[in-house]
Amino acid sequence: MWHNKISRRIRFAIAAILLGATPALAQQDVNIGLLAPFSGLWAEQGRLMRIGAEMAIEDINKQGGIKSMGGAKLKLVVADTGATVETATNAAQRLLSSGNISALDCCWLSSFTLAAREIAERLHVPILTFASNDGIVQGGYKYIFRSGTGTDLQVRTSIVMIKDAAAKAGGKIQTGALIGDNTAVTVSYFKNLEELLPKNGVKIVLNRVWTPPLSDAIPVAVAVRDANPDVIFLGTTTFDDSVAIIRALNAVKIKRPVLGTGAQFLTPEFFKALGPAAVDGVMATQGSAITKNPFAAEFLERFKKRTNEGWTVHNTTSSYAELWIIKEALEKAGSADPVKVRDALASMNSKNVQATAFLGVDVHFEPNGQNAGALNFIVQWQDGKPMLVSPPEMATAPIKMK
Amino acid sequence: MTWSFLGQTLAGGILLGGIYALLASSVTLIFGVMRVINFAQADFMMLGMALAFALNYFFGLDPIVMAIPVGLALALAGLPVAGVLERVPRGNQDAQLILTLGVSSVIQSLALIFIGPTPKVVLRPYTNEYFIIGGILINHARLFAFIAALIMMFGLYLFLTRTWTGRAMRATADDPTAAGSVGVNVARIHMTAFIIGTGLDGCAGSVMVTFLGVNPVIGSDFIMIMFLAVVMGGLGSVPGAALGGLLVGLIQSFGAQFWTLQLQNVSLFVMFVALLLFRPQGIFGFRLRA
Amino acid sequence: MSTSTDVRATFSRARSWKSSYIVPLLVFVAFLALMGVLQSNYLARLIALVIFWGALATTWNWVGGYTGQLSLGHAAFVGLGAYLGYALEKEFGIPPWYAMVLAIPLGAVAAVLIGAPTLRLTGVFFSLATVVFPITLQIFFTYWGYQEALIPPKPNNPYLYMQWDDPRMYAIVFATLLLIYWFFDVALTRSKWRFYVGAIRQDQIAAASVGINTWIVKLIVFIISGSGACVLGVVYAQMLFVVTPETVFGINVSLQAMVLCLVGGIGRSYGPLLGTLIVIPMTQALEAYFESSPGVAQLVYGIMLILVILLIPNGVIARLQELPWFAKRKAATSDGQRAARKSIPSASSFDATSQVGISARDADEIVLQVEDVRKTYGGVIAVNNVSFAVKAGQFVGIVGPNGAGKTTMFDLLTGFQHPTSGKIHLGATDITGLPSHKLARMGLRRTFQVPRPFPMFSIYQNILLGALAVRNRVEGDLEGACWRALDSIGLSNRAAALAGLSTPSQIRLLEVARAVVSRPQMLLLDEPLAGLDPAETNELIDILQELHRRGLTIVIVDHAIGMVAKVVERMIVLDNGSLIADGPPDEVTHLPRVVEAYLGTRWQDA
Repeated sequence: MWHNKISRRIRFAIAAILLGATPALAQQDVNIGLLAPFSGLWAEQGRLMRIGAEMAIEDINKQGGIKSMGGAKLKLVVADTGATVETATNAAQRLLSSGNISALDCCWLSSFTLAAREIAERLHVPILTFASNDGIVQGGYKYIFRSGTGTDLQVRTSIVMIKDAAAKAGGKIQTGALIGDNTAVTVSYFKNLEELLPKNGVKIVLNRVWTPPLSDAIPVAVAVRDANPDVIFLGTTTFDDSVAIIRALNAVKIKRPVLGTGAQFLTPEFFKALGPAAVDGVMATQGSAITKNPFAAEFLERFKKRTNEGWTVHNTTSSYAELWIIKEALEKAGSADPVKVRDALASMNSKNVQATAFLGVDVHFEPNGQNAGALNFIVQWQDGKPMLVSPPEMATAPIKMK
Repeated sequence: MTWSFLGQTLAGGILLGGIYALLASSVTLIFGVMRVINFAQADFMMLGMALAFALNYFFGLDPIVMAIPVGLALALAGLPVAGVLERVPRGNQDAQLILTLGVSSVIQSLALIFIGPTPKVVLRPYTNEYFIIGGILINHARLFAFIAALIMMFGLYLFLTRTWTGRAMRATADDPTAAGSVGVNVARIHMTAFIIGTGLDGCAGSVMVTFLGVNPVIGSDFIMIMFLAVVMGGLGSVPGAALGGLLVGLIQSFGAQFWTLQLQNVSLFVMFVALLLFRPQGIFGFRLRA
Repeated sequence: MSTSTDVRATFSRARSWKSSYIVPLLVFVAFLALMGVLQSNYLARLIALVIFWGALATTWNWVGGYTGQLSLGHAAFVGLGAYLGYALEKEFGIPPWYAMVLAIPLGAVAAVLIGAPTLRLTGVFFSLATVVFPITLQIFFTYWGYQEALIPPKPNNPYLYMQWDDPRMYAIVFATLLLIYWFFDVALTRSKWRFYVGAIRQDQIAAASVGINTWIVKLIVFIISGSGACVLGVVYAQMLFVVTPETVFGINVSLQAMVLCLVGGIGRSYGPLLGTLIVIPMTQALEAYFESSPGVAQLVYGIMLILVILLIPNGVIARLQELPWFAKRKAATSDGQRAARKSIPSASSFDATSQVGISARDADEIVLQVEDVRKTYGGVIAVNNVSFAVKAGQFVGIVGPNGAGKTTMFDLLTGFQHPTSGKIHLGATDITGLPSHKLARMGLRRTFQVPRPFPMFSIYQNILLGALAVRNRVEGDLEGACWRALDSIGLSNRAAALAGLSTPSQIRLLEVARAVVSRPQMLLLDEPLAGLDPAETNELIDILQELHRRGLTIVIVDHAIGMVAKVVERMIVLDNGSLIADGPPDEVTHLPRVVEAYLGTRWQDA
């Protein structure tokens, strides 16, 4: 039986190569692509996305599939971007050329998303993403939709939030340090910071950038200590660098608010590597989060049961929300045709709790594909738990300043 | 520019260099003796890290204490690879290179399938602690790893200089034909060198996991450094490898402080190429035969 | 290393003009027709990718295969081309077509900068030195802020800006480039360059000894290969649309090119293409098949690489050639060789001077003048102010006990080492410090103590190589000269046999013939008698004496004083780096100083 299954799959794979078609599936299924890194340096990011996407598919199918299409079930088709743009574009082309993908959730890394965006535009398949680089929704592309914030908004709201919180605690933010690697996402983050911090009366006293991996974090931490900034903006993208820099900052005993960007500061492994004392107070921006909406809390419980992991990050919640946005669009389009799905996305105004519980706002896309009301979420480690501290109206805990 | 800053840079470079030195010693056995660029070398280090993590996770065993058992396990894991490598005609460098590339691919994908992409960390009491001496910070974990590395390298040095097998190994590194003609079983020595090499990678991985998370592709951060260190130090001798490793650590450390941090490895590469051109035998090595 | 049909099978023409140029052109036209009817977007992209990698592997093969230098720096050229196209379009709005033209000089300059220093290194050291260049460029391009270079979209002008929605267009561009590279490949494998690169691949020292400037030949091939890869990089970037340093400079680009060549058959024209046709679709199929299980595709790929190396270490081509159809073709080629032999004048109809082409000279003319030559290593004096002169037509032996400095002297004379002080003249020319390949071209030829034939070339081709780099020294037609040299060592009947499969004594004769075919001013032999049995020794000595009779100046450096004394007309004795005797053999061998040197001073003291 196993043999039969295998040989059938081989035949399908050969057919896929020869005809450029992925295996034909039962007609009533609607295929949603998930294109993300599942191997190489960023594999963990893709794994976290996949959990969210799979949970969404199960939930959608459990509650009756796409009702406007006679209860059609969703099916997740995953493809691995690998580690380079070539492998990412190959996977995108393979997935999208099959002609039976209604929408694509993609790709975590901004360069992969940019490349996939180009292919999706040419093949007319809508993409949902939460990659935060400003360039993602620039250039007049019609098939790209972003659920979360861009870096510009992230930075703008983060500065305001930090300054407010400091004021409430009786302090003042006058100087800031930027430390991080030179990957695309950090470069975009720091570019915005360099522009906006001075405008907000914050002087940049240290700007230390490296090519990952960082061989020794102590000299960087010492430089931070000597510069003595009021706030530290952290732009590390790899797990090891993130751990090393927090460890070093603790070693030089500098107690200042630390704000990072991305999921790597909030994973269970990050906590395991550093322990509760070292991570306490560390903040990170997210494109979506577990808000105080009860649906989110219930989702978190199911996530914990499913994965045995203590909490979740925006890779999972954003993918989950994006799959529900796609579901909503399918519902509205009443068709699996990607062009119709795209039109439904462009004109949607969704109040679906499965998306709003994590995104915090109704989903409505601007002409460039940016979710109009997207919020910048800030999560902070407090007593060994990641708590949503901003925006305040949906926060699960108030922000703590050291 | 203060003394404590200089001291910090120096200490960082030495601690880093100690680990590189241990990794380079393993390369000196495989690359030095067999003249094979083994692309899978750093993947054995990754396996060592993963095994040490597992021993800690399931049995609470300390990775630094377990370095030798982990090394033995990795030596065993190197055996089939050594066997396969010996079947490729000696001197057929392109085939050997591709073969190790295939092995690297297999190890990395097996790790991805069975261990998963999630970074695995070991938190020991000393992981996040620091000694502060005259304003210089020294991480306990890195210092203990450094000391363990020194002890293991000393052991290797004794093995290579005091035992018949060790001396035969050095003779083979020097001139395989001559070694063969005086009765050394070159194939056997190659296999032995290879498994001791992977064993050392395992030891290095085991001590490194105390301050570094392990993921399937962590090896790619180290593979270049390992080879640069060993070529800079000079092939075929443990002191050469140790010196090369230390040198790389110091170049990285000082390059980061006195040049742009982003270009830290460029200074290393420039030194490497310059050294290859002007002193191909390495700083500490013997002259290579044509 | 593998044997290569390109160099093995033929004497002067590798493949016929028709099959070399017309057939690929027809294939190209057929390919265009196929593209016209192809429907699938994904398949078109896959084809474009296959052709890109095939072309890239072809350029790598010139360096890694033909000259045998395993470069791991090929990604540097791809990346530079990719970023050149991006930068010109982004900053100046210049279409990538111009970038393709500019990529040729850019690739050439980069190749000179990378190759000029590193090509002096050999083996794995060359590989390791080249690997740092793309990594360094990757760091710099990241540092300069090109982490994510998005080619500016120009949807209204797809042809001008190479931004087609249809991947078939990229396939056609890549195919055109591949056709050009293929023609270059054919031209290379039909020209005498195939002997140069083949010689370098097999033995660089022997290649230098027949007058090939190995460094410059390697560098030229490296430059052409780099330019070719750089042009490909421009189009590659356009097809990817987003350029990241890891994608174009990553070590995997260089490694992939190497893997493709090795799977197909390294050092053969068809190798890279065959390898690409197998590997790229296979990896894509694996990825499609194991899409939902990360890591499995890579695992299978790794296992297949290992199996390929173990089962077909010389590539798929080598396996194919063992099939009956290929074997028949090979036999046909050797028939052709025998037929070609018939047109050469028979061995008996030549006069003394033209047989091996030795130039007749005045008897008193000095060919080699050694003045006060000294060589020290650190504090050790290997050669201590030695002076002597060799006249035209002399047969000289340089002898001495072990450690007397003979080998050093030999290396100094042949340019493999250079004296610390003193002068060496060849004829009227000062040759002190000249590299060995220049001396070989000037007519100073050598043999090796441990013979260094080109084992993968036939005996005939070995001799041909002796004359190829010094064509102007050879009188009349090259083929005739080669056959005459072959006849003079009695190996004409084995002309087509591989040198590597010959007996040690045949190889030693072969080395002599390889040297004298170039009509040298002087022949130096390094311990030629070592390891030969009496019959073989006599055969070699007969040949040398015949050459001497015909006017060739010969210097033998050997340990065996007794044997040398029987052959030569003049003997120079070295001891402890100094010249202690010079004269006719029967006089020299009886000098107390010489006896003492050979027997050791202890006998005197006792």
